[in-house]
Amino acid sequence: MLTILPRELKSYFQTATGYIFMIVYLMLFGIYFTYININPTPNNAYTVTIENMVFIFVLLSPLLTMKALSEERKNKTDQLLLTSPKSVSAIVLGKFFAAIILFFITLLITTLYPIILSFFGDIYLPTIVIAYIGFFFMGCTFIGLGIFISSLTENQLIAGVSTLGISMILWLVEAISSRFPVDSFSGFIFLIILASALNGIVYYFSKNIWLTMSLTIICVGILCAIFYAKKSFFEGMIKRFSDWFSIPLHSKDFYLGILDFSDLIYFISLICLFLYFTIFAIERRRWT
Amino acid sequence: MDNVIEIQNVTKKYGNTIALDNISITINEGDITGFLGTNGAGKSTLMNIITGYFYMTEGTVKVYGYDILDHPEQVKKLIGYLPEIPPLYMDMSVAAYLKFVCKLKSIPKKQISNEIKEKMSIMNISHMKNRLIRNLSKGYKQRVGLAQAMIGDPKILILDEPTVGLDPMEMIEIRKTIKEISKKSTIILSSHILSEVSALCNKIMIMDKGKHVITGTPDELVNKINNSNKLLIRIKGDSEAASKYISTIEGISMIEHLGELEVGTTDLVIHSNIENDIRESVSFVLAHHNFPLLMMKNYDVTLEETFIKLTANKRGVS
Repeated sequence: MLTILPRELKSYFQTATGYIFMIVYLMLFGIYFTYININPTPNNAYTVTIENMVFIFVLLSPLLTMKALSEERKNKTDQLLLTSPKSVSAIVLGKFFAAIILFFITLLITTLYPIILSFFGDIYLPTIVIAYIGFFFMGCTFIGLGIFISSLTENQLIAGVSTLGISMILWLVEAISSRFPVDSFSGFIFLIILASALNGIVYYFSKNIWLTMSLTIICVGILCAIFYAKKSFFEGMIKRFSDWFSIPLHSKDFYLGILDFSDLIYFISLICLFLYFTIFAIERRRWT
Repeated sequence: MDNVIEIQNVTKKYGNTIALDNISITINEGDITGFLGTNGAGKSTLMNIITGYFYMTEGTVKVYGYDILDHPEQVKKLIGYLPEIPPLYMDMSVAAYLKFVCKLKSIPKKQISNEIKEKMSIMNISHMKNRLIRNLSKGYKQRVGLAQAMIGDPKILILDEPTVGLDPMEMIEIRKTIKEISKKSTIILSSHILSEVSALCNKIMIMDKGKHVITGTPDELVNKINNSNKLLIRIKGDSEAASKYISTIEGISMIEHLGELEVGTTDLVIHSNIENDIRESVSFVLAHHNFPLLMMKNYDVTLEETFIKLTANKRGVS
């Protein structure tokens, strides 16, 4: 990991990607800071600026990750990495942490703004620190997602656009989920479809039709039994399920100054999951 | 250890396509082994499997006794690999790139500087060390790729089409370097250039459409096809009459007329049993019947002919 990381970090600045990301992000941060915190506005807490800048980061984060693994494949430099004694996990972690460090440095520069504010008035430091912690972990989650998508294609444009698309879905899922049906039957049908899809994945990897069929019958049987015994279990199921993927829902407490460890664990779990999927995708490609 | 690489029953499938079909070969220490085949024969796939870039669908690959799947890191430490497209980072300078490779191969920090200097000197790229790789010519990129493969003095060097796209001078230099390296390492190289393989390798494996056709030394392969002695002669006079007289010699199976390659002469190829040396008899018979003999030499089957014949047989072409 310590071999890959410095090369990756340098390459951000050798290809101008790092400069573009930092300049655009810091410029937009400055505009928001001026508009919200310098001009007299009704809700001018610094955490509001951070909350707004999270969305800007979601839009810009594909810049950091889109070429991470896709370009290695396209240029065939992955042959050097994968035939070296370094493990796939070391390669993936090296790339992930390089993007994280660039993101962290950018975030660190923005801490100048609350310092500036502190000269002209009182700021409540713990709230700002917690907001930054939330922002950092949420950013790492989007970077993890981007690295994973970058491992699926050798076209960095496809990687970038896909990362942006999925990030936007994760961002907007809470707003969309309020429109989903909440009755128990819809929830029941939704879980049946979900179980079938999961069993489809089981079949894709195992190629065992009997195992898949047995699992599907067991899942449907259990769901039918629950539906018969306690219909209310399925009420609002679609919304509950989709809200679990809502990143803003899991981060809003941070901007209120509440450090919720369950949300931190949520983000760390997602990061680990994305990195695991990345390693899995690379390893699987070597077998097929 | 004599057997450096043992490949047993290796099959690689891409979906329903079979890229390698039950390949087995053993490579001994100090060998320069050539994988020979047309494009798509499976040479690169086999190399990618030995180096651990891909995994095989079936079979085993052992390098110095280590199974590639059970001990990938140990195996990779023993191998230097130059793929068909050198894996170069265009945004790095030559020296920075080689330093990165040293770190990838876990070369001790103190040795890195000497290692880079040595490999750049061998590949004659020291004067290019601060140049960005993207600005180098194809030949220099290939040299940097080869230097990369040599970092850490691996016991096995695997070179996929090492001279492809190079000009004749560069080809000669790279071949010379490969010969030099072979004194220290076991080398596997792939090529579809027969002259290159026959000039460099002491063992050749011919592949066709993912299948193993034959393995042997260049001479063994030629002899395998060449089951008769062939004598090329150039005579003056009536070639039909001369053929008639020559055919009376014992052991002659066929006489081919190559035609008039020099004005007023005819070239003939005389096929005889492998154990018979007919040169004396031919010269006596021709002298006896007053046919001037202008040239006589053994007519060797080239590796190129052997390759065409062997791969054609596999395809059912006669």
